[in-house]
Amino acid sequence: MESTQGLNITNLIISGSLGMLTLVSFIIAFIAQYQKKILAHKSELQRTETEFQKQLLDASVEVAEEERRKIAGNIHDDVGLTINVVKLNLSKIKKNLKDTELVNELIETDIKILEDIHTTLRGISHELMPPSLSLLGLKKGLREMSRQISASGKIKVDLVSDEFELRLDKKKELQLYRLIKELINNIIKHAGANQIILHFALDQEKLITIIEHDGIGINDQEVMTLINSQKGIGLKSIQSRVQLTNSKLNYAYSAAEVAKITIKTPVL
Amino acid sequence: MVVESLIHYKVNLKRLYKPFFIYIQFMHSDQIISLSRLSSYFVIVPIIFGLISKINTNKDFIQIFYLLVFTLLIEIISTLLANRDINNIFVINSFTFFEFLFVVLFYKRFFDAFKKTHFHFILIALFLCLVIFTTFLANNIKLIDNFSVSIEAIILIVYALLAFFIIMKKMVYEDVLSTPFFWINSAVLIYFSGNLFLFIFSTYLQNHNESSVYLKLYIIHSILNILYYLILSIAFWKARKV
Repeated sequence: MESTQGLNITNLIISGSLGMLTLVSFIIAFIAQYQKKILAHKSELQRTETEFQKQLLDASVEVAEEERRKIAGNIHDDVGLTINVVKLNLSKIKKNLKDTELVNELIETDIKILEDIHTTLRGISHELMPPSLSLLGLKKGLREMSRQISASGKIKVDLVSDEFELRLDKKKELQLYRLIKELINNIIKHAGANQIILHFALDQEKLITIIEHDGIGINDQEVMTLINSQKGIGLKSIQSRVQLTNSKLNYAYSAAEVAKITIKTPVL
Repeated sequence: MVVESLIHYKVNLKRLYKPFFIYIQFMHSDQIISLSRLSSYFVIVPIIFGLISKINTNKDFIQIFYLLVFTLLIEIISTLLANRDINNIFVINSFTFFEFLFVVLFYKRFFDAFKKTHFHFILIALFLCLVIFTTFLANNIKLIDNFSVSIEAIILIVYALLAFFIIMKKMVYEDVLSTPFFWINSAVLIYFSGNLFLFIFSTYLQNHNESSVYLKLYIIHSILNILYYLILSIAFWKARKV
């Protein structure tokens, strides 16, 4: 018969081996399970990101379509109809060449109509590409826009800026201009504000734009809720412009502070 | 593998009266030796899988494939020596070093992808010194060098755990279960942790004339050996898919 010591050692070895095996089995199972969970989490994040990108793309396509519809409407209603009037007047002139008084009157009318058409076309063209923006840069383009909005009398828009000269990449400048314009449009439409102040500053190779207003603001969380819902196409379009310009956008609003939107755009 | 040398011991199995060991108590020494031989020659299975998967052309796992081929050669040599009643302990002790060498070289390739270091070579050199010292100087040349085997097991367990830690921390693989490295690492971890206690106490059992207990406990080693080769076969099969 084997000694008691031999049995004790046998016990110890079997228990130790089983203990070690159990421990390593747990470690291996944990790693396999952990990796699986991480993988699932990663693919879920990827799916959400893809979904979000798709929503942004849909929104920007929809906004572009909306802009095209607006321009088509303007051309059809303002230009198309008035050109028809000019055409009719010219036909009348052709038929009544001897009636000098009538011819003069019709020519005067056509000149006036053509001037109106010119103004309308210039307006559409400015809407598509503001001349002050392409010629003088973002700051001056926005100053011009502020002046035009203030001139309408509905709301006052002021621009406050540090002294600096900056020209961004043309595409980036246009996207940023449209982004700020869209934000201002949203404030006019939804915030019920009386005054908007645009602040511009340059900080460590970043252009900081702050839009303050005295209306009802919105914060980041509320924006995300709206973006995730089926509403908020304008906000999604804003978000896609933010991505196109590599900017960071932050909405802040609380009862104690004025509503503020901050855009940080890398200059390079 | 070590059990081959135990043929030199004249063991007399006696019954154990603890129900926990009921299976062990019914096995005779001949059966245990047969099981051990079977488990040792089970190495052919992963070698076949390795050849099917052309693992000999894969630089990441070739070290393990060479280790298995080397193990098969050592098994054949030690069986031949044992059958001719020639002491085969020297072959077994030198195998410990080569096993360590191949496995460390396998891990070296993995760890080099993150940080290249000469530490692995230093460790191999130190281990070689240890094997030489324990085999020729400190130990009786006719005894199995279980001290070196225990140290080898501890070092390789640490290597395997470190590899798992890096896999988790750096998210090395997207789907870890389909990765051959995960299976090889698991095989190393299971085999050496499961055998650790046996390796540590086997010298004691040999020295205190408890060879019969030692022989019976070698069933654990045989089962783990089969499991080790099965997991390595899975690893090589996964390598084929990769």
